[in-house]
Amino acid sequence: MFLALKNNTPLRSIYVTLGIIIITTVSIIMSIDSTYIYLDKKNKIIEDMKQSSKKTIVSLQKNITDLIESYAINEYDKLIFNEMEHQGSSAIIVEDYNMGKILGEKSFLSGKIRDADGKIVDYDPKNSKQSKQLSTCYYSNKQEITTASGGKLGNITVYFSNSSMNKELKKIIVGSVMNLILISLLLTLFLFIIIRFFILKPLSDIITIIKNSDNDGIPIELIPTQGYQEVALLSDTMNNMIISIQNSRVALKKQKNALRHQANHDALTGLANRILFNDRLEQSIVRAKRKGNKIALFFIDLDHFKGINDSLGHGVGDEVLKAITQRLLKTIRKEDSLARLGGDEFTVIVEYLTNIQDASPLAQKIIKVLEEPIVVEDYLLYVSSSIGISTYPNDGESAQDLLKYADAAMYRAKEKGRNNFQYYSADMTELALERVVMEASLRESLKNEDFVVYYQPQVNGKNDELMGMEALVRWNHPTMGLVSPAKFIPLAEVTGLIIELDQWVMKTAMTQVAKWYAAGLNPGVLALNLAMKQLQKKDFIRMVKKMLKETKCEAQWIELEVTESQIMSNPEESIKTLNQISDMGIELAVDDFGTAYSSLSYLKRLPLDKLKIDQSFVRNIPEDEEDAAIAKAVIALAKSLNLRVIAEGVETVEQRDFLVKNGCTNIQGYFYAKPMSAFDMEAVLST
Amino acid sequence: MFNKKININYMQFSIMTIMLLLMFASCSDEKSMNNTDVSGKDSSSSKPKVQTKKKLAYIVTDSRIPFWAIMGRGVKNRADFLGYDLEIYSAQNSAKHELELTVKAIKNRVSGIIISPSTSSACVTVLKLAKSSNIPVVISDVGADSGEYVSYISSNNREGAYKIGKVLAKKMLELGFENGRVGIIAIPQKRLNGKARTAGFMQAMDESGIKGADIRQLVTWSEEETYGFTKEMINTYPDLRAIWLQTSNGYNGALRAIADMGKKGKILLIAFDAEPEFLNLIPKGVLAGSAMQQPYLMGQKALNAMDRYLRGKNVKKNIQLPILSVSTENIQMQLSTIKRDVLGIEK
Repeated sequence: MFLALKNNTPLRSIYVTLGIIIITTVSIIMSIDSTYIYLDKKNKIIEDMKQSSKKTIVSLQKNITDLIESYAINEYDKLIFNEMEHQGSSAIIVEDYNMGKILGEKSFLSGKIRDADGKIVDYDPKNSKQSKQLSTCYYSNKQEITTASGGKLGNITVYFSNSSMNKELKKIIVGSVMNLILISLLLTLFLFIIIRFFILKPLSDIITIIKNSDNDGIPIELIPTQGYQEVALLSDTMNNMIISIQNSRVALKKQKNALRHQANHDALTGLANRILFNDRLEQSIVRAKRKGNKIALFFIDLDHFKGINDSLGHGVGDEVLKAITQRLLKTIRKEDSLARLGGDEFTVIVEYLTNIQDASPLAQKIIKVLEEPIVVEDYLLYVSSSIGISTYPNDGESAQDLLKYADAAMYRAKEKGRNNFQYYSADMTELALERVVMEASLRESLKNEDFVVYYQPQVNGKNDELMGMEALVRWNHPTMGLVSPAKFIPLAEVTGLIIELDQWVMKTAMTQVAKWYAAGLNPGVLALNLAMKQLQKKDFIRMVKKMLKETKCEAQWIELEVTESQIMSNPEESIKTLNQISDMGIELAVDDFGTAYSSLSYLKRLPLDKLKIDQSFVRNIPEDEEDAAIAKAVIALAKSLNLRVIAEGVETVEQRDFLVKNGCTNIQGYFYAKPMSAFDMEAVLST
Repeated sequence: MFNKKININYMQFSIMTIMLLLMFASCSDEKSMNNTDVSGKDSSSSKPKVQTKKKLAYIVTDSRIPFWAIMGRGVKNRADFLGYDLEIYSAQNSAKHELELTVKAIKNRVSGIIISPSTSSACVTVLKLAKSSNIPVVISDVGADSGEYVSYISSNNREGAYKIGKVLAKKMLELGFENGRVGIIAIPQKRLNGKARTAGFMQAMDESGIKGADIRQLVTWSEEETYGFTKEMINTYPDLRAIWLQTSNGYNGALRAIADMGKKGKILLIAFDAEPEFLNLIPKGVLAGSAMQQPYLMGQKALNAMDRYLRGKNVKKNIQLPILSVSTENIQMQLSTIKRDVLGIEK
């Protein structure tokens, strides 16, 4: 009946309140009704009494007149008896003057009266009880009895007691009380059921849904708007409230995010501010530590910016900063992080570097990009930059140190004449410079086709027959002469030039092989190194097909080599692309097998034809037992996966024999031949 | 002081009581000299105390009617014999007078009332009045519709009427009048005795297979009335062969009417009760017979009942006396009874 809430305030059930209201209301209504009926009935009874008494008197008067005149007292007593039997009077008394004269009294009283049991008995004037009964009668009607000529014969009085009236009225009261109880019960029951079904159940359903709320107490589901109008309206209103709260929460979240964003971002440029930058740098350091990568931190300071601000105003200065921001965002990689520390100072966190020098091209790029003039309003403005670079872990292992050193490097860049970049360590700077130069040369050489393809034979170690060859690029620098691939290939990869280079090598080699086949020579399968960047290009397959067509090279004449580490950098994508290549009829080989962390499950899924044992495992066999065991394991794995196996870097007969003995008959290395020019290779093929 | 007052009052009361007793004693002495007991002997010598004669009243509806006059004589005879002071009040057939006489008797502080009421209904009022004054009542003839009384002396009207009906039927058969009708001149039928008489007679007629003609109720009880009724019935019913007069009073009217209508000897007349002339008329066959109540005896019985009551003895509530069925054939046998108990001839 009572539910206590958390604060222990007892709450009354709606049933109790409803019951009280209903019973009170019904009681009041029934009481009013009963009172009305009671009074109405009472008035009716009284009226009936009066009418009855009138009728009685009228009925009796004439006969009694005659009987009084004839002194037939018993006869009029009998008449009175008969009359009383048919109506409910309490007594009918005759005052007989005639008889009274005989008795020497004023009148003689005779008649009939009802006793306590309602029985009609003779009236005895000497009976005090009867006299009292008459005196206490509720109503009486006296009528004079006269002769035809008007002489008084006496009176006839009809008496009515209220006993029958009281009985009737009591019945009414009892009936009313019974009705009241019955109606109250029925009405209460009926209304309880109705309320339960039409109000409380829907409310209960609503409560159930509301109870199913999230951690903030907001209902998870919306309340169904069904049922009756009022309940549906309540549901709808609550839903609006819920939605409003949810929206507010979203808005609040947005606001919080915005505030958080504001707290962590630069308002002008939207870039990470110093706080966020510090956090990001620390996270980068953690990642680099875990993965063994290097990080380069660029501290970029705009040259001559102060002058712009002072001369043209902060409004223009802000626009310049925004423009600079956009240029920097377009220049840096996706994985790099740009921040504005304040004023005209920006930082870039360059992650996932294997080689610190790989950051240099980016730095150079930034220098170049920022050299371009900026148009703000009608002004053509020139803003250059001075970039200081610190590296992790070389220069420091904490964010604080890296920033400090990058800042110091930036100042050196300023000292060196601005519009340049400086590593914190001088060596790095030199190397960086070298790199920049080399990159430029690389671009130039690609334009000029200063590269040449060399071919290293792949020989059957058993019978020394030529199986195929690997195409290897050589850079014939106009001034530096032949540059080792170890020097320019990484640079090409970092700068993205590797794609162009790769494609050139492919085209050149495929053209050559096609020519050899056309000339009737048997060069075997041409192995081409495939850079990952190529593999990731969306149009790679189309490009290969086009190249095969253009070079007239058959798919089965070529084999593409991808390194194990390249495959494992994005195995799912690799599988997809390599399958497409395999479907073209081109064989696939894994280069440098054993040097990365291959998942054998992925290995099974790759459409490979050949495993190439990395030269690092060949160099010390058969003496190095570990390398020998690895080599054997790789050979066994290849066999178990039904793959061919080739070993590269074979330089001695012992190495060759060991490999052949253990099942690896495909041999590549200086033992048989160094990479040679096409001219020299043709000569070999011709023999 | 209060106790003194009580003592004085007590003394006064005692003195008064003694005085009253002395007065009563003297009165009793005087009366005892005149008392005679039932046997006629002077009881004063046999009774140690002087007895006062008790007053009784006999209220009769109409002492002019021989029947009740005879009854009165019977009451008187017995009252005298038993030493009661009887006063006879005749109501002259008036209900009012009957009541007046009742009140008078009550006021006279009678010890008892014997009544031959005008109607059984009127008797109820008399009984009420008497009861209110604690005066016992004995009813003789007619009866009462209700009320308290000591005893009711009546005739067996039904049986009497039946018997006389049988006498008539026998006579009619003898005369070959069995196909004729019988008319009745009746006393008021609202009276119980009237109803009883008619019922008994009709039973006899039914049993005998004799048809009834008509019934006329007496109002004035006069001879002329009887004459008129008789003539009417003779005119109306040509096959009228007998008339039964439910009373004796007015018989002559009937006889005259029969004679005047030329039906003498062709229409039998029987009556109820008796006139002294019947002693002559019945043997002669002028009247075929009469059912004779014994009013004198009834009066005696009524007084006897009152006497027994006043003496604290048990009294029968209802004493029904036979009605003599007198015909030409048996009148001689019943002559002495008729003379004494019917006609009240005391000598």
